[in-house]
Amino acid sequence: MNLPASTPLPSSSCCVENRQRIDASLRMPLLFLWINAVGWLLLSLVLGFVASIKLHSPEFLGNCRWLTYGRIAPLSFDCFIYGWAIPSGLGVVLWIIARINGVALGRPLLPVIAGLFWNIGIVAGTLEILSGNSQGFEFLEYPRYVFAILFISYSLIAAWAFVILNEGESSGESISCWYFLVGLLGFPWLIGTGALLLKPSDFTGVIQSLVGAWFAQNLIGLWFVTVGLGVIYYLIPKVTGRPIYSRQLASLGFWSLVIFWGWTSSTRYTGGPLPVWVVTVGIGATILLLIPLAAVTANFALSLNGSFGKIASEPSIRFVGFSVVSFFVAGLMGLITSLRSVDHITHFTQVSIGETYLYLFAFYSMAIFGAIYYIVPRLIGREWVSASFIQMHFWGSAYGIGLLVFLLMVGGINQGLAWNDRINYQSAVDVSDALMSFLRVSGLAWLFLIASITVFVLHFLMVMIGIGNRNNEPVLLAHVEEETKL
Amino acid sequence: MSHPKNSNTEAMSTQNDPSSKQPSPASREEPEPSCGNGSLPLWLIGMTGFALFSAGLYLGIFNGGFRGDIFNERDSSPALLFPEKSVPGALAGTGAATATSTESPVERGKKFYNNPPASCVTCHQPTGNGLAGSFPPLAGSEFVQGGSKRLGMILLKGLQGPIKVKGASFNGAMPAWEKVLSDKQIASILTYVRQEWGNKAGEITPDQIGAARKEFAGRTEPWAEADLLAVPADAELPGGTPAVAPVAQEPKK
Amino acid sequence: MKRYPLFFIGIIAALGLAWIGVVGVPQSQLGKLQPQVDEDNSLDVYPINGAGMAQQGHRSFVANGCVSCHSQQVRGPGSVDLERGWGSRRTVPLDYLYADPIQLGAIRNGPDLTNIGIRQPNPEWHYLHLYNSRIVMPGSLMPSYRFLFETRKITGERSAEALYLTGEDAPANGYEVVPTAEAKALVAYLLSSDKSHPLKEIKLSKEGSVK
Repeated sequence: MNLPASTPLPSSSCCVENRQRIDASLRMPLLFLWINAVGWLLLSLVLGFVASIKLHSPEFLGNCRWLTYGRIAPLSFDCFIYGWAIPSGLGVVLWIIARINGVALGRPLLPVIAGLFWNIGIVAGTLEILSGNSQGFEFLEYPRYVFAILFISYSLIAAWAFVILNEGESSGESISCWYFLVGLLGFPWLIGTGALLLKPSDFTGVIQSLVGAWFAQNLIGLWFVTVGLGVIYYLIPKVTGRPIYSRQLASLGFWSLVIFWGWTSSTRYTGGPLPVWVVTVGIGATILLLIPLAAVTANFALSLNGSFGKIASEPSIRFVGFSVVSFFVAGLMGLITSLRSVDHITHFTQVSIGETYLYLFAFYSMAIFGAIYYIVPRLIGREWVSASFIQMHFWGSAYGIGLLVFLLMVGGINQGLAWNDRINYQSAVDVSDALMSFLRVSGLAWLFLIASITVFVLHFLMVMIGIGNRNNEPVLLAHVEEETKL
Repeated sequence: MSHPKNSNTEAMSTQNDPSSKQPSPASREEPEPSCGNGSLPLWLIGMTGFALFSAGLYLGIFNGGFRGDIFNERDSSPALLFPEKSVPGALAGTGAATATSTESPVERGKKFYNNPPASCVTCHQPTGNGLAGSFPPLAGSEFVQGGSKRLGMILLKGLQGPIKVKGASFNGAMPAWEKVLSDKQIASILTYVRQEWGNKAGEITPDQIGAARKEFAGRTEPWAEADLLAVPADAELPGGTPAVAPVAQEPKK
Repeated sequence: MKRYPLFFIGIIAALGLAWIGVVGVPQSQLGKLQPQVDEDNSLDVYPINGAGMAQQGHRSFVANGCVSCHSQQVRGPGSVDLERGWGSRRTVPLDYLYADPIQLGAIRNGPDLTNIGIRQPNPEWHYLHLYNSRIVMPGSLMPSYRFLFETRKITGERSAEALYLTGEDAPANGYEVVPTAEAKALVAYLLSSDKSHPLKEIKLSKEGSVK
């Protein structure tokens, strides 16, 4: 393999002993973060499953105040975001930054303690929402003190990333580090201006909605999109051994994303009680997101060119490939549904929930799974145990999220068309009849997801404990011939 | 010291001997990622220009003057693109029950019965049977088929407290509709229910409801059953068509 | 970071500008809204900061996540909201001056509730609907909120507030179902949901603006 001459790498990061030292320093914090995170993921999926049943059979577990739909539906998202997505992402970010910079983590215990407090915060937040103390805004339901705990815990972990970056040598060259920096800075910025220093209730009336929308939209953009893309920008060249196709494309994609994404939040209230220019600016910015969508997807596709076989064989690239396609689909859906003529049908329907799941699970979580599959053997010095388990995880998740998003999109369109047709669908009951069969089948999708994550958790535990694989060869999903290089 | 190329084939080649120690994962890796020098593809530059142009155009058309008090995107400059439409009956406020002039009072009344703002159907049900204990039936009701005065009173001012209809007792609360519905709307609803579900009673005119509004203008509280019973069951409001058994309808103005 | 200050400035500028654009500027335009007062009738102030039961009811609305299925905004003439009779005019920022926390809603599994106080002014209907929505709306998907009610033994006379329930919903013999304070507050809130007051200075759409 030919390394491009343009970016010579410092010798320390090529040193195997150095890699192992870095991995050893990160072993405890990352395993701790990830085991807790997948636990929250499982809980979130179970809550989502129960909520989906309640949508078509409202008497299911209907007498329990704590399980009423209006509480567990937002709770499912909060457990997903704060319980699974951010801690798992933080772990991956730490590892990648450490490896790229060739610097080990100084005090492994601190992120563990921070992770513990993070979990305590989320447990508190969960109990608050279940008991009815929701603050009423999407992804901002936790009370302020919970966000204070999360902010402090996050900072304790993220601070290490900055320490490593400061000591490191080559992060300016790394596209992943650009994205991770935005993520690392973005999350505290959001919490500060959306939940701690300022929050929706510090404003009056519709401005509260704008703050809430801005928080939710930017949480997706400043954490999920950036960390997800950073992970993919790392894994593709690292596993395939080929460089990312183009730095210019990466720059264009990066800056256009960071500049335009923040302006798109008002599309959540198209048609609502807002001055029209606010919504128009949001739609205009969403049109401009076509640029990073095209640039980033093209860069990934061109970087994978010649290594597509890895998608079949390497678990990490398999998941990353799915993630790249999902990113493209999610971006496209976001653009199409923001246009007023389409929004006329899709607003207030399950379509927006489908879009959220596209970003949160199909794009972000699959990329994180890919990273975990790559990193764990390096942390503990043992390979994964079974290709079948990885296949089950992948296909269960792929079919699960694919089916769920499809049902929500098509069902949501049906719902929207029904709402717009007041002659044939006079009452809300008539409209929900149009959605009913989609809701019923969605339970199957949730079961796929729960099953796939259960397999993943079991596999993870097996590897950690040391059951299984003795000859320590890397687990591949398929055997491919060595590919001819271009 | 790192192994170049596909570490997988390397690893696989030693798998025949399971007892040999495998190279550790860290030694099988590729170097840290690097970035190539591919140039921006032409189509992407074109797409960037297209996106910038489209967004700019969209912002230029639908900006509402960037004012804080314009809420509809069509109230933006340039007005040329959105000439004022005149759509008959497009006025809001009549809810789903926008009536056309060729409809009969019964058809109109049915629309108002079943849709907002009145939505009588939510309590009195599509069958006109109401809900035991809460909402009295309209089908076969002695009030519905009786005189127009009691009906005008009920619809305009509402009803509170227990009431007996068809021998059964109900304890709901009939809302007052005088502020929400017009005379014409109330009259058409009453006309509709008086001939539906086997009911056989005549039309009620908007003039009659107008007369009731005048007569009870001072009343702010809903009626109680006693108030209704104090009015004779067959008392009529002035301004109606003569009450006849269902025959050919008189031509309406 | 000593190495790339420009990068940081770029990020902070990008994020900060977006916040200013989407939150800051609207705040400067809408942050000083005052209720409108009718010169001819100075008692006619809109909106009014309702206190008491309606306020508590709003908190119950938030606590139970009603916004997960119900919106509280009426869109303009381009949409179906007015046709469905959910309001006599679209809602504007002034309507939400005292909504805290505002619950505009993003999903409609059920109808919009902005003007439900006008559309369904019957408290009995609301209590039955909350207890078990399928009593008054067969086929409804809305959850039952039985926990907002209390089933208690009838002492002496049946309470005037007791719900009239039949069939499977009826309580055991000698028991009655009455709304708790939270249910009463919630229904008071719903009954007060009325954003149809005519607007004086605010320009509504050319197509059929209604005063």
